[in-house]
Formats: sequence, C-alpha cells, structure tokens
Amino acid sequence: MADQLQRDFLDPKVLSRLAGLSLHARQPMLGSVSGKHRSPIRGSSLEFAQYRKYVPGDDTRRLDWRAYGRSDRFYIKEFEADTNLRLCLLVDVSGSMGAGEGGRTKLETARRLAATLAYLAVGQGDAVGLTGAGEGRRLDIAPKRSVAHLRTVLDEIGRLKATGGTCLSEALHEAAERIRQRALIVILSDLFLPPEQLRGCFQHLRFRKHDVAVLHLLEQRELDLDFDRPVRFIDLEGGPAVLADPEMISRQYRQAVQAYLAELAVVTREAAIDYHRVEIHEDPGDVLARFLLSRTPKKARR
Amino acid sequence: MSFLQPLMLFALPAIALPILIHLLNRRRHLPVRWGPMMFLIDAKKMARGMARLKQWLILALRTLAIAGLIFAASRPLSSGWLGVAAGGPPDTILVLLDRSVSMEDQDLQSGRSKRATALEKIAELIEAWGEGPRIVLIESTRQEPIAIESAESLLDLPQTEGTSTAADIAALLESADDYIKINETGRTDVWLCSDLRRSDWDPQGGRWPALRERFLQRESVRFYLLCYPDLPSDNVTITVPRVERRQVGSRAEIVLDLQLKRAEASRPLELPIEIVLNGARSVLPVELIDTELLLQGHTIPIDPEVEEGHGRVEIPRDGNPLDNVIYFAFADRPERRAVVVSEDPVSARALRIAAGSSLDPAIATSAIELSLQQTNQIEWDATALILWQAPLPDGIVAQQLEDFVARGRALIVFPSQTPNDRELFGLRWSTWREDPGVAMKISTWRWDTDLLANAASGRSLPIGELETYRFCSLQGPGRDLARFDSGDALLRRATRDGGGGVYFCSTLPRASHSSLARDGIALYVMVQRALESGAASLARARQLTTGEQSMDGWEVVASSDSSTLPSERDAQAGVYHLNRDWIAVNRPPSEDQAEIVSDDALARLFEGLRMERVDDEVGSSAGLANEVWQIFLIVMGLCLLGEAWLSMPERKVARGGASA
Repeated sequence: MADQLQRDFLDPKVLSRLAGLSLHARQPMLGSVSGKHRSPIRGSSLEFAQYRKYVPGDDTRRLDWRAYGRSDRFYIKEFEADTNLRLCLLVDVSGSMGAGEGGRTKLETARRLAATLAYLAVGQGDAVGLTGAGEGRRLDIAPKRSVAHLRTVLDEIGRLKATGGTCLSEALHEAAERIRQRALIVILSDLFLPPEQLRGCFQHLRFRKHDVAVLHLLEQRELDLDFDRPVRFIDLEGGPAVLADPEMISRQYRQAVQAYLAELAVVTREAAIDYHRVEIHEDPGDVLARFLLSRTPKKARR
Repeated sequence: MSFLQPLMLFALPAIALPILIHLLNRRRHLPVRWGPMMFLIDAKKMARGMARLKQWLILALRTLAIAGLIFAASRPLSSGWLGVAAGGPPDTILVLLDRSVSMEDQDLQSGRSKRATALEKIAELIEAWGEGPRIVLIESTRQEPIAIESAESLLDLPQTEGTSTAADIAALLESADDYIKINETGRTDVWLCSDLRRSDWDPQGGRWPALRERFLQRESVRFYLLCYPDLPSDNVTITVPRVERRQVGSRAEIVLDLQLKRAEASRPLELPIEIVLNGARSVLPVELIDTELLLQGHTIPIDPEVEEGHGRVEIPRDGNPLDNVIYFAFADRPERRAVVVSEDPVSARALRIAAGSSLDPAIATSAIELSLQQTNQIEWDATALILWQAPLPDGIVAQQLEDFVARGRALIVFPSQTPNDRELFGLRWSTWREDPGVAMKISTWRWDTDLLANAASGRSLPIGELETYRFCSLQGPGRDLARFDSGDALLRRATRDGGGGVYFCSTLPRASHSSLARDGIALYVMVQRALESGAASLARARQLTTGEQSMDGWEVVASSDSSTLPSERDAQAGVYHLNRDWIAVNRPPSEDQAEIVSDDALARLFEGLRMERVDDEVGSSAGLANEVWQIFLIVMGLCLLGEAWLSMPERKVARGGASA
C-alpha cells in the first residue's frame, strides 16, 4: 500500500476522512466470497430475511419451532447471505475529459474519485475492475479483490489519457454484455452525449441487474459560458473549431444546457441510476462522502 | 438642414469605426479548449435570429452615436421643412417683405403680427448664419434694395414697420431679379415673407410667366416662401365708401356710408362704431349678423359755418388693428361743371341735359355747350367732365385734354359725323356702320364696375333695352364696358395709368342713331357717374388710398402711426392738409378681401424654380433655423444608452450546487 499512497491522485487525507464510510450496493450482489453486501441467495448470516412455508425437502434444521408452537404450521426461517461486491469503474477517457482549468481537468478529478473508490472497495474486501472508455484504445481490467490487483488498477488509472472522440455509449453497452454477474458500475464521465442515446445504455445496464452510479463531471464555465470576449472554441474531441461571441449566445447556451440536464435527469430517474453531478473543482472528499452517504442503507446509517 | 461648420462633415467616414473595431475584435479571439461543443452548436443555431439582430442594432447605435457627435460638431441649423441644403451659408440673402395691411394680422395672445413674426424669424436665421452672407431687404412699398448691416437692424428699420398699403409681390420679385442681375450675387437665398393674399399676389397677372422665365435662368437662386396663410378669426374691417358734407337750407351735416365686413359669420357681433369728427366723438352701436353690414346715409349734424374738417371711424381693436380705423376728410363741394363740345346740336342738347341735371338738390351742377371752335373758353381747372362730340383734336387741344384727364377729370368722347384718322388716348374712330331696319342690342356689359355698374340697390341699368341703329367702329386698346352682339364696342374705356377715366361711346344720343336719348336712364347715369368721378378730383377734400399720391409737403393732421418718419408717410393712413385741400388716405379696399392664393396657383407661379414653402403661424416662436447641435448630442446620448443596454451581459443564472 506504500506505493499506492505515493500516487498524487490518491490523497491520504481523503482516505482517512472516508475510512469510516463503506461502499454499499443498492441491491443484492452476487459475489464469490462472503462480504458486506446482501446476496439474492438466502444464507446463514445473522440478519433475518423472511419466513416461508415448509416444503418437503427443506432442511428441517431451519424449521422455526417457535412459530410452529404458536401457529401449528411449519415455517422455514431464512437469513440474508452476505457477499462481496464487484465494483466496476468505468472512466470516460474521451478528449472532452481533458477540459479544465487551474491544473484540474475532468480526467484528473475522475482519477482521484476512481482511485479513492477502488481503494475503499478493496479495503472492505470487494473486487475492483476498471474500464477506460475511449476511442481506439479500450482498457478493461476484470474485477479482483487482491491488493496486488488494486496496484494494477491504480497504475492504469494513472496512465489514463483523455484523447479522441467519445465512445461512451459503445463502452456502456459492451460493459453490460461483458460483466455477467451483478456489479456496481460507477461511471465517471462528462456524458456529452444526447440523453436519448444514454437512455439505451442505462437501460441495458439495468436489464443486466447492475447497480449503476454516475458521477457526472462538469466544469462550471461549461454551464455558464462565462467569457467576456470572442472565443475560438477548440473541440477537444477533434471536431472543427467554433468561433463565437459568448455574449451573444450565452443565453441560448444556458438554455441548451438546462434542457440537456433536465432530460438527463429524466433519463437517469427512469433507469434508476444513482446520478451525482460533480463540479471538478470540488473537494473529492466532499464528493465521495456525499456519494457514499447517499448509498448507505438507512438502517446502517443509524 | 445646413451647417455652420460643414468641414466637420468630412469626418463622417469615422462612422465606420465601430464596424472596423467589431471586425478587429472578431479576429482578437481567445482560444479555449472546449468539451461541450454540442451545446455551442445548439446555442448558435438558436441565436441565429435575435442575436444577430441585436448585434446589428448595437453596431447601428454605435454608428449613430458617432454620426451624432460629428453632426453636433458641424453646428447644424434646423430648417425643419426646408430640406437639405448643400454647403454652408449663401453669398446673399434677399429678404422680400410684404408690408401690406393684411400682414398686420395679429396673434391676440402675443400681440405679434405676421410681419413681426416673419421678421424675427428671418433675423434669427441671419444671425445663425453669422457674418458670412450679404443681407439685402426689399420691402413692398418702395421695392428698392436696402443693404442690411446686422440681423438686429432688420427689426429696427422704419422700412420694416407695418403700413396701410397693399403689396405687389410680382414687383417685389422683379426688383429682386434686377438686384441679382446687377450685383451678380452668387448663391442667393430669396426669403419671401407674405400672407399669400390673392390681391397682393395677383397670380393671373401677366408679369408672372416672364418673371419665372427670368429666374429659371438663375440657377444659383433658391426661394424660401415664408407664408402665413391663416386668416384671423373674427376680424372685422371697416370702410367708409362715401363721405359728404351736405348743406340743406341752414342745416349742415356730414353723410357717411359705413361698411363692416368679416370673413365668417360665426355669431352676431355687437360693435360700437366710434366716429370722431373734428375732435368730437360719437358712438354708433351696430349688430353685425351676417358677413357684411352696410349703413348708408348715416348723418352727423355739424355747425353750418364749418365748411371743412376731418375725422375717423373706428371699431374696437381686433385681429388686425390697421383695418379697424378709417380716416376721412370733408369740405364743401365745388360745383360739378360739365362742358359739352359738340358739332351736333341734337346730341349736344341731350348730353347737356344729362350732365346738367342732378337728382340731389344739394349738389350744384351745371353744363354748357361749346362748339369745336370755342374750346378756348373751357375753364380747364373748374371743369369736371368734358363730353366731346367732334372730330378728334390734335395739337394744343389734344394736349390740354391729356392734361385735363391727368388731373383726374373725366372725358367721354362721342364720334364725329365725319371721323378723322387722329388718335386720342390710343383710340381712334373708324367708319360708321349701320344695319338698316335692324336695331342692334347690347349683349354684354360690365355691371360690376365703372359707368354701367348696377345701382347701389343691386338693380342693373336698362342697358339691354338700348337700341342702336348706327355706330362708329372703334380701333385701339381698351376695356369694353358694353358690347354689341357683333363684338363691337358701344362703350370702351381707354387704358391709362392714373388720372381720370376716358371713355369712348360709339353712337350718338339722337333718334337716328340710338335710343340713348329716348331711354335716357342709361345715358343719364353714365354721364352723372363720369361727372362724379371727375368732380372728385376737383373736390377740396378727397379720399385716397395709400400710394395713390405722394404726400410730400403736406401737413400731417392725423396718422395711424404718429412716430412715422416723413419718408414712410406715404405708406401710412391718415389725414393730410395743404392750403385749402384735405386728403384722407386709407388702406386699399383690396386688402379687405380675405382670399388666399391656392396651392396649385402658387406651385404654377414657381414651377421649375427651387422653392421651399414654409407655412408658419402668426405669433409662433419656433425658429426657422436654430442651432440644433443639442438634439444631436441627445441623440448620441440615447444611442450610447441603448448600446449600453443592449450590450449589457445577461443576468447570470444563480449557480446551483454541483450535485443533482
């Protein structure tokens, strides 16, 4: 872990601040080993799940004799099974993720968030995988829960570069197909795609019973178009540059952004996506604390 | 619009500066690496209409602001309706001033007349031009150019005061043309100030076409017609058509005919007419119901020993003070003496009877018959009318007749039985003509004026009933007062400037020639009217109109303007006295005719000339050409404000939290 702590996108202060919080799945997970997360399969944990009627063949050791005494009927007492979680970090590495000012790009923020989440997940015994969604080069690291694997993941996170056009939708569809078992898929992207296109991706992931969270990385000036002179906008994804006077189009620009965000909110709500908008200059500790807390089951939060 | 600093207009290309800056600014863009191009493209699509319009508006406002600054620095003169004049001040400004009575119509609130308003505005305009142009005044009474030193002096000159005269606008323009021609004035602005009264303009007059042709050849002349065509409401004019001193027995009285007129009969008007006679004042209340009221034969008893005197008739002051007073003078009337010079005793007798009998016993009338050889017995100074029925004279007699008529006496010429080739007053007799057995009738005659005019009651004379069997055809120019069906004249008035009337009657008052003697009314009225007009010049007291006679050497007894300089006296109404003669001078009756030259007629008069018409109102204080740089500065300020408002960045949407 000493090597990992030296990576500049992994901030010890943030890690120590988040040490008390756990990464929870919002739905039962199918893990390979015992862990902190619920499983759809009944198990032998201490947490009561439900009663069900006895059917021949059931293990009679799990009959609830007290219930039989009260109701003169046979009931089987079932308990939750605890399992581990597959955390798949899907980082958009299209050219637009290279946007940012003051030395902080979206990709840099994505690195910090992804690395911290990976560290936390491995720390609580979950498996971590990494997918880099970019044009041309596709990075896929299958989820594993070893510390050595974490180092690999962190190394790859450090090597991510924002280049080329976006192919996020293809990456999401591919991830939905590739990750066969239920997993927590955290998407770190600026989502500069038509929301209608994202709708299909999210529904595909949900169809595969994945728990999908989106950390939508945005820069404030991208929302406001706050410039005081004509600007030549150079497309980070290789498209033609656009010359515009922000003073002339700022109102229409903001209208377009608001329409996009509203439509995106509808899409994420319909697909039950855990959506979080992140301003890239925010403190990653704050962002992740908010993210983790929002996912903590109410019972656990108490 | 004109400019006092037209050179500043060379800076006008600077209005392109905002466009240049805009284009340069577009090149001075900031490169930014940008991710959400989809929003930019959408925004540019959405902003294509309004934003572009806004951008153009901002550019236009910036351009206008600079234009406003340049125009303000050029010191523009507002000339309102005058259009855009090229260049700076003209070389010469000719001010043609109508000083007629009607120009004294006043604005009752400010008390300023049309003339005063026009003068103030012209003075203001001249002042705005500075000391550049040469200023020349030509006013309507003398029509002589007067060089003006400064704008203020225009207001103080006695030659710009109001008068009781009529104006001859065509003569004013002729004088202006002469001045331009003689002085080679260069670029000339002719400012003609008038109230467009038809009587002053006489648009049908024969001088206008030639005048227009002359000005068409002067390309550097521009006309500005500063006109005041509004007629004053409720203005009443008073005239005294007749003044007589009458002595009947031991009683003496002054007989006055009073006439009141107004343009519109809006409501009945009660007016006290004040009559001042030799200093004694009396008031006659009247009610003016219609547009006109004629009071005939109003008598004022006087001391029988008072044989002469003067007075005035006055009504309360209204829209035009100069038409509210009429001066008159009276004296005992001389005998109306007529002389019949005839070769035909029958005709002579008829003419003597017609001339020697007066219907009014108070008027002494006499007529004598003389033969052609007795013309040396004529008392030229005491005779009012000569009835000449003899061959046309030449030599000394002709000259005496000329002088006789020039002194205002009347002459009626009848044909000789043997007409000669001589000419008198441009007319001569030709040959006798007759249509045996057929009586020639008069088809047309002038019933509105002169010897054959209708009676005061409105009834026409029985001219149409006259029968003529022989007449002598007449050759030469003149105005026909009565004409046969054939077009030949029965009675023609010779064309003359001034003096008394000269009439040629083409038949004789004898049974073989006409029914003039038999149906004697026409002959009697004709002769009596000629006698009356001739006697008027003999009278010791005469009623004249302004300009009709020079008053040099006459003592001013009463005047409409007591402060008038002697040089301006001829243009003022008043009473004048010299030896035993009295003259009352009043405004011409034409000034009471409230008729305006129509727009079409005016356009025809100035057709092809560069003329701008400026309709102004009496008492108006709006300047003709004020410096209006302030307006341009205000426009510039408004443009800058508008530009600032349009350029103001839109209110930012409050930044929400980063998390949804």
